[in-house]
Amino acid sequence: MSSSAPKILIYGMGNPHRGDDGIGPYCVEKILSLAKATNFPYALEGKAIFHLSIDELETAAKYSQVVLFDASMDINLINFSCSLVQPSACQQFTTHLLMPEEFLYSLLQLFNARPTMHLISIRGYYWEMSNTLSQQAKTNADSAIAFFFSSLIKSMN
Amino acid sequence: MGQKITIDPVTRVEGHGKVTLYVNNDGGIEQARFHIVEFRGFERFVQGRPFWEMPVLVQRLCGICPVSHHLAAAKAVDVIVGAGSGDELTPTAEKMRRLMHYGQIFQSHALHFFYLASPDLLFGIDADPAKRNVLYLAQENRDLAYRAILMRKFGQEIILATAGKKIHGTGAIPGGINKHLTIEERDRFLHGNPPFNIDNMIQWSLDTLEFFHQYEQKHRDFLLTYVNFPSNYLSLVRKDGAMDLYHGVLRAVDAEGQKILPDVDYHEYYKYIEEEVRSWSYMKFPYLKMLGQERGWYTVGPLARINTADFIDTPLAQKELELFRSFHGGKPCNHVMHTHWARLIEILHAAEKIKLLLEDPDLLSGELVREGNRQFEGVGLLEAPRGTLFHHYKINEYDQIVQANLIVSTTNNNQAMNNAVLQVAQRVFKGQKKVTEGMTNAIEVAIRAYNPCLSCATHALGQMPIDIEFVDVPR
Repeated sequence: MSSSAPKILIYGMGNPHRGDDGIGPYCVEKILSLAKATNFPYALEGKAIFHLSIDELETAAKYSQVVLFDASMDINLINFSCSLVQPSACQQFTTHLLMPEEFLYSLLQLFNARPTMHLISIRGYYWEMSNTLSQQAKTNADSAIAFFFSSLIKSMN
Repeated sequence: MGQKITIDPVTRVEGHGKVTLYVNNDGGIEQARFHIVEFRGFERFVQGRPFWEMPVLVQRLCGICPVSHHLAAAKAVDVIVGAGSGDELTPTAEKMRRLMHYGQIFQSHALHFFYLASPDLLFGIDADPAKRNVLYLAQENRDLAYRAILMRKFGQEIILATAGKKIHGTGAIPGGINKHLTIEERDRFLHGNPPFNIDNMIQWSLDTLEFFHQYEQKHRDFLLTYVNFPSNYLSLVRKDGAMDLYHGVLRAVDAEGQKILPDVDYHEYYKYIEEEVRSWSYMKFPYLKMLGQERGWYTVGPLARINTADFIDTPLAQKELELFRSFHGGKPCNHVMHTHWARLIEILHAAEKIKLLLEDPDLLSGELVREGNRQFEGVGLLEAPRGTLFHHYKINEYDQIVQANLIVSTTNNNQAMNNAVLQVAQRVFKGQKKVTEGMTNAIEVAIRAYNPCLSCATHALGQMPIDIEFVDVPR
């Protein structure tokens, strides 16, 4: 692996006990498993979290690429979308959690780190107490995982 | 005609509370009430559960200080399994639990001082609310915010290594602990790459105290006059009078430093402490029985511990305690804003303790669990970041919980926080016709000094704001 090879951190955000909110943790688990099985060529770490917080900044600062997998309630979303996150100092009333834009801004501000950050939003449908994903959410998540390996990784080189 | 002003939301407290101020016709504040409006009821719904679940179950009442509940419940359950009354575990078990606990104290105090309290101190009580948070702190003082994040992370990593998880861990089990510290874990904390090692954390703790001293010199009048009143103080102390945040005997002193509860066995706390219920709050009002409801209320937490302990058994924190005592003429400190100073002394003490524990080979090997004759009742106390925490369980012959009583740190501070709210409100609102955001934040500053954890104190799901309500008192 060359020194310029991307160091990738993936975050799966959500509560795996609230139905399709567990899409993010599901993606992380599956991606790490697939990467291990296929001798993934780059440094890849993954973590399931409920949401982004200040406490994660120090970890994320060590990576050149950060990819966020999160469930979406957007009814206009067909299955998933991928967007490039831009830093922003916009502030909410709480500092218990950070939006992706604020997270990236804080990385720059505090750790002088500027990883490339993508947000993959995956459509979910069912949000009640459950440890399993709905079938459609799982299909959407698998499509997003395939996109991660086939397209997003290539764009990181 | 009633007037109601609500601030929603207000951040930087844990849980949901409400302040009601009763305003008379002259515009003065007649009465202030700090309500806790959420209800959890853990004491009731643990009934019927097996006692060994308590260390992992009851800590779910809080996501902020679960380690404290985990350990207090474990100490109570130790008694039930016959593993002793708090100081008879195996050396490995007790030291691993202490390491977990001091990691919690370190990260929790860092969270409070840097994230919650320092924006008020640095930017002013009436500064733009959008600036009174840790992200703006990062813009104004990058180094301070950077240290805040890493100090908190260090404590959390200690918790992870000892409890298995940063939140809602499983390390403490009935009669002991479920793992040793590995050599790799120990070496990472002792000798990790700077800044992530314990020597650096001690230095940063000292630097933070120096930061406070510089602030104190410039804002002495503010800190001394903002809110102060005589109080009793209660905490655990070691049998020889040293500060001990994990185990000891119960001691209370009055505002002049006279012992009013002379180092009693905490397993019999119910002989000395009573809880009063008031209709307007889900949080009870504990008091010392022998002094009664009017005079028996007390303060717990960092300021109380600094006021009750004879000394601190780590050299750097002891030196700072001597400075604190000298400043206050050898008497207990009744200045609530100096709780921040006391909290920083405890951060330093916790860091020193963590280093001593990491250097102890007992953490790496030795027996983990002890058992004995089954008992049907267990009490566990410790000094949580916010103050003395009580867990008390009774079981039946089927090992099921039949009675549980929790007196949470913030509950112990209930009357003191109400007094603080009243004092600040009477001064800040006097003669004011218009209520500003800065005025309401002034009340919260007094509450924040206690670092209340309101969700813990009522055993809650829901939003986090404090609502402040003003009510005209009819004549």
